[in-house]
Amino acid sequence: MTPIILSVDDSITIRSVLARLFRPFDCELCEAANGEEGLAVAALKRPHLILLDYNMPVLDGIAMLRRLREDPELKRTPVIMLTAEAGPESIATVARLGVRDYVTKPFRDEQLLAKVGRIVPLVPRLNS
Amino acid sequence: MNTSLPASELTRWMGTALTEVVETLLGGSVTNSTQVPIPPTPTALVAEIALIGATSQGAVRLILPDAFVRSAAAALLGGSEADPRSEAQLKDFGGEVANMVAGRLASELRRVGFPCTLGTPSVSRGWVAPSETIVTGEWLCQGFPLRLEFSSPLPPA
Repeated sequence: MTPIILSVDDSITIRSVLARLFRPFDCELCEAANGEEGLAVAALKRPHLILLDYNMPVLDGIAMLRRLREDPELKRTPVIMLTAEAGPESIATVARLGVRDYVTKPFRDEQLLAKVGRIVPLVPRLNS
Repeated sequence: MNTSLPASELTRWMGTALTEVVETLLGGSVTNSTQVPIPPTPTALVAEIALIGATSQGAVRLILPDAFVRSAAAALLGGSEADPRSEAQLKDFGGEVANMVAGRLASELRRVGFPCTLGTPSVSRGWVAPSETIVTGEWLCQGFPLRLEFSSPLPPA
């Protein structure tokens, strides 16, 4: 089964970095530019993992996470927060909402791949 | 809560934040460049992030030469610096770098008892000398001069 990873970030730079990072692996990477889009894509694609930014327009990461946890179909989806902010209050908030991990931007490729690999299998593509 | 920090301490925070972000993101080394004043340039990318505290507000401004932004975007995203990139892509890149630097400065402010959150990046072209009292620093990365301006929500000593 090919794992589906959803990247929710308002920055096209970060979404492009993640697309480049996961390209060599047999996984499907979906994208959304804010929490509202993220919920819609999550409902459609049922991702195995969500990489979620904290500060976003329209609907931020915390608000998306709260709504995700209220959705019976999506509430168990693992989430890794990717954020430039790493304050103890924000970490405590997302921990209460059951995020699996927390990565501060910028991240090293191997650091993020290791954390993602603990949640979904990252198998190199045969043609890469 | 520490409400008085010397400018030298703020400059040290800025250098550490910029170095960590640029070196992690781009792999390039960053050196202090106090001996190389950066001339104002109308094409420089200026990315500003507000640092919002409960009772006061500061800001971080990162000034990046256009050639650095194109080179760094190519290094990070693939392709070459000559590849066409939209203005929106270049501004997003500058805003994201500034956001990461501001996140680290916010962590330092929290550490000294001044919790604050980050505002949304505002990115424009053309550097003009700031009118308010701020702490500034200049660094070199791969030959490009980078300038950071920090109007701390904490009053300097």
